[in-house]
Amino acid sequence: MASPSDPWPAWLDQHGPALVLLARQWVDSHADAEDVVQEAFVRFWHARERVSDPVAYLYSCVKHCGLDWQRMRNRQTRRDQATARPEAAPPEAATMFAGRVEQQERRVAIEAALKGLPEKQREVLVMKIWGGLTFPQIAAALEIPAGTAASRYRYALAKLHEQLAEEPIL
Amino acid sequence: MNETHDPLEVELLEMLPREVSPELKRRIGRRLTDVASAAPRPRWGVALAGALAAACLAAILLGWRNESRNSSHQIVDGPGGSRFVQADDTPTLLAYRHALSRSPDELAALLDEHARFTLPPDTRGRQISAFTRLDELRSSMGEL
Repeated sequence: MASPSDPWPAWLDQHGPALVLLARQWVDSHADAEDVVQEAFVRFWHARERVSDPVAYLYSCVKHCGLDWQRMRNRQTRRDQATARPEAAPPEAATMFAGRVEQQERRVAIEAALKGLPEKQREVLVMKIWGGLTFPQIAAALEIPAGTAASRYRYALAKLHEQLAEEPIL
Repeated sequence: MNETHDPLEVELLEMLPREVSPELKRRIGRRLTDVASAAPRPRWGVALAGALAAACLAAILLGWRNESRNSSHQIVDGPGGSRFVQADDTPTLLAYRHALSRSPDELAALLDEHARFTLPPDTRGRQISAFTRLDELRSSMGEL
């Protein structure tokens, strides 16, 4: 785990991919998710020494910046609809994970299942699986009890099982 | 801690999210560098604002002091068209009575002090006295 005294690239290398994946929850494209992470990371970096758990704070920053981005996009979309401008480009497909081409089909299925999860379950799952956060850290980041974080994780896994039931596990 | 993972959990753990782009690293690096180099600017601004505020306060205080000093020395028209300065901090009548009851020298000193207040500023440095000679005072007191 990166410590507050580590240089910022070490933090970004360790948490960047999971942060972008988390940000994808509120934005449509990988590029937009990186914009969210950029904003959140700068905010985190200036405050990291004043918070009790920097890792939890970093993920919390991404969530807040993602929600801000989403609100901004919603306002923009309403303005665009009011002025009858053409629709934005459709969301990208199967771009969340890296991997071998032969696993592409399975990846697409998992990404679709992830997108189908309720927001509160999905953010816990991403923080736990790809961020490597503990339940107390997830609880701190989301300002919920640790028990709630753990139960949301279990519900998320159960729901993914349901959705992927017809897909073979490789 | 001994955690057991179900196959789906293991599969998810093995899936790697996309790496962040080098462009994102460059942008974050630029933002952090910009902020770090711009950080001293607000301190200069605060120092400048503080100095300006101190200068304004000093000017206000000086102006107030001058005003209060001027207000304690008013020009008053006297009998026969003469003008004299009436100073708030000149000795009171009671002070004159006390000085007279004590000694003529003390009264003379008090009168000298009063004379200093009523003279124009450019003559205040000179040696002055209300009576040229102490004898005059004594004789006038004797007449009284």
